[in-house]
Amino acid sequence: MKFKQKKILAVASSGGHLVQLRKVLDPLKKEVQTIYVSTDPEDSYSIPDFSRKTLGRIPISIRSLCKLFKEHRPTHVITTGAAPGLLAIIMGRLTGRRSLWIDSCANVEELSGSGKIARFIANRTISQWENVAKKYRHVEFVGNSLTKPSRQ
Amino acid sequence: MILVTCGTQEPFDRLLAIIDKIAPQINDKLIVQCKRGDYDPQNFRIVESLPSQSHDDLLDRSSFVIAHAGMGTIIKCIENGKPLIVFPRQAILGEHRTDHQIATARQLERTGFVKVAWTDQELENLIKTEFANHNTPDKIILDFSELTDYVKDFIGI
Repeated sequence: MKFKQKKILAVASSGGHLVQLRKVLDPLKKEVQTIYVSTDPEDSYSIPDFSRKTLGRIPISIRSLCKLFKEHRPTHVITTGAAPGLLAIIMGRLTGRRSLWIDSCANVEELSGSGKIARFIANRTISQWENVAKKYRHVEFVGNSLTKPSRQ
Repeated sequence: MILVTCGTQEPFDRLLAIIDKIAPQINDKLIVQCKRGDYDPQNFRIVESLPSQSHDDLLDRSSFVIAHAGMGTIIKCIENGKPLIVFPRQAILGEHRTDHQIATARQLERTGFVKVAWTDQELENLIKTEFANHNTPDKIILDFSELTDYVKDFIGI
């Protein structure tokens, strides 16, 4: 029996979201093929960024994501946000991909706006802060990515 | 060289005005990356965006960094042990959609890695102090391996 080759579509807005996603996924590059999709047109793969203020750009983002799904046939969608990552999770869900939302470690008190929606759509949703994860259903705590070494 | 960087999504005029005000007292090269707003600085040029490679190079070469509380810059400064002064954006002043930068800054201040300026005056003072004597920031560990392991398990490799 032939197993389907696993492939990750890793979506993140440029800046802090992308920096974090690369930290998490770059160590796996020998084990699984990962296609990074940012919102910077200068990167290899990108989709237009949008936020609550610029919802008009969604159709173009959907079209770009459709093309990427078709071209690369990812088995998994992983994102650290923001809004374009949520869109990728929704489209992944509709096309039967497994999806994971990793909320940015910038969200130290509550989930990001997109994360609050993503937790009902993604297969798994993670917060990097324990106090945040505890506040919501369907959210797991994984991380402590930023820790000060204890003085001994 | 001092790097001032505040993301590409929203302008940050309040920060630019403070930097502009104290620029003549700072005898060092200033690189200011910020989305253009209404404020027109007299003492430096604004660079609206930088390719990530040049951003990393400039960060590496600067003696310290002044930034909004954006995670990208914070992570890079932690990795490079680069002194960082954070000036969080405030939603009430229209500088961001929410006040999560304030929460992030408060949390990071607790770790002792970053210095946070909560008011315009504090920012001025912190910059002057940092410029006069460079302090080495406390060591902080940046470890995403738990998340990497989680992902491995999630995709089954």
